[in-house]
Amino acid sequence: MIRADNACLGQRLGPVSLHIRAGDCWHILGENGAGKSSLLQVLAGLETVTGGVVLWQGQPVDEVGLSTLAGLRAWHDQQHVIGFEIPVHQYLSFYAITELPAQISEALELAHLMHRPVTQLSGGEQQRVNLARAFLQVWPALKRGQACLILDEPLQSLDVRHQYSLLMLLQAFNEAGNTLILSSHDLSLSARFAGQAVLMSAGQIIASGDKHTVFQADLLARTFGIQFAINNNQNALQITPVWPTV
Amino acid sequence: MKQLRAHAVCGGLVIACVLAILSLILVDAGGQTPPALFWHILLNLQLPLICTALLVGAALAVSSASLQVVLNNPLADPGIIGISSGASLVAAIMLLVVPAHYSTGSLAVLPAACFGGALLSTWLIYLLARRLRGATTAVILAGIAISTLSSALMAWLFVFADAQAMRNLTFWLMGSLYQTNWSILAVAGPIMLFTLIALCHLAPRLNWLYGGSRLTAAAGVSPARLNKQVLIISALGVGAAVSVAGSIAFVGLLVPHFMRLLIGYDNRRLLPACALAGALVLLLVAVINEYSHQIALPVSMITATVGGPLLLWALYRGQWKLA
Repeated sequence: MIRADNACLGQRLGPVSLHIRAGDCWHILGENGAGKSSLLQVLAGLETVTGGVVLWQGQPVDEVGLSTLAGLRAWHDQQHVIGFEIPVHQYLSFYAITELPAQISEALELAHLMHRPVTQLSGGEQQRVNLARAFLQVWPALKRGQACLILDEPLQSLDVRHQYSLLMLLQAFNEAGNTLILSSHDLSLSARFAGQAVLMSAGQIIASGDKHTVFQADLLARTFGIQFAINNNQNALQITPVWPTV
Repeated sequence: MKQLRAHAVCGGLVIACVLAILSLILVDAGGQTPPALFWHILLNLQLPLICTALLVGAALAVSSASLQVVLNNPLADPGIIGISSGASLVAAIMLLVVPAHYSTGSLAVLPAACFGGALLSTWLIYLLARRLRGATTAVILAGIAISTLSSALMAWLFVFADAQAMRNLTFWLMGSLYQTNWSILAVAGPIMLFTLIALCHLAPRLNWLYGGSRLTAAAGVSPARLNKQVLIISALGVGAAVSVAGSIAFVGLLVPHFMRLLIGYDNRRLLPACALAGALVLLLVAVINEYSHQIALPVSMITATVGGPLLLWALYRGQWKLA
């Protein structure tokens, strides 16, 4: 579905190569400033590569066009500061052609937020509203199982319950055939929910592929600079950082 | 529900505009005015006045509402952030340097000069807004600095101006609906009409800009291109409005604000409602002028007298957040 070949973005990224197939579920991990957001922006066609190429269904992403991409891939990133007191229901209506589906509303618990101004919500509430906005934008493709969700740190600011319900919603989308690419800092959740993973450091990919081959103690240590204990209990990966003794 | 309310508000505004226009037409109809004189006044004075009020009010309100979305700042009124004064300054310099151009028939020069001044100020504010990302107060302060500088330069022009030029400068500082005629409107009118149609056409895309540049791109439109389009068209609208009516304060601030309170933030409904409300405000200013039987009062004197307290009230009620 998306293929990056030696893609570069100035000093921030690359060269990186990655092949994402339709229906994959990729989690991108790495320390702060590792280039995760830049990689996502390049894959989403929101930044033009300065070297290499990014192909979307075999076609250079620049040639696909923003309006075509808008119907196929959803984008979520860290919150933009909105200068207007727009109620949530109106804000969502700008990006959607349908009413908010119950599946999204219930999973993200939005019903009681709909008439509040976006600017008066907490960080976690704003995060949920913006995730709903991203899903709504591609809802027809999402229903058909043909959408690609590219989400930059979707779990940020969410409490444990909302993290879990979001991940279950994303899993349901993925099982319906949709492609999922997200960045995260939570190794244990990625170990459970990812199908494939990318480890990044200083704009480079340290390792990528099936999560069982990527989540190795030496690769994680190289990426994050600390040791990890990995337990593969009945095919369920568990990753725990080993804190240095003081 | 919002759509019904928007229709009701727009309907009310249309009725109010029609009543204001009728009262302006009928102001000279009664009494001793001979029919020939009545028709002369109507065709050569009242109708240009009505067209000016309608187009200038609508252009200012719609351009301001659009600029506010691009700058992510509901306080961005062309009068406050220096766009109108930039346009006025260039026009005033032209009037002093080439004072005869009004009579020589080069009527397109003035709107072009105002557009140049408005575009320069708009671009400066846009660059500052991008640099001071999210800092609402800083953008407004930068705009006030530009506005103050333009006003100071215009005050300097007073030193070198003769009596006639000083009257013209007062017009550029305070605005007037009475320095227009069909020739001036023939140039500036279509420009204002174009800006109204173009900005209303861009309204659905403007909605995406509420979420910021990245989300606009993700929704399918190049934000850089959209910002550029809106800035140029808005500067064109403000420049054309200033070229026929001088610098008018508060219309661009208060009309979009109260329309947002009434019908919400959807620019597809907001911009047409702003056009009607802006037109109504300036029609009411014209009505006050006509029925006061005094000398033509500067427009900004009336709009600022009403708008100033309303701005203070809105700030007190917390309807504008400064960050």
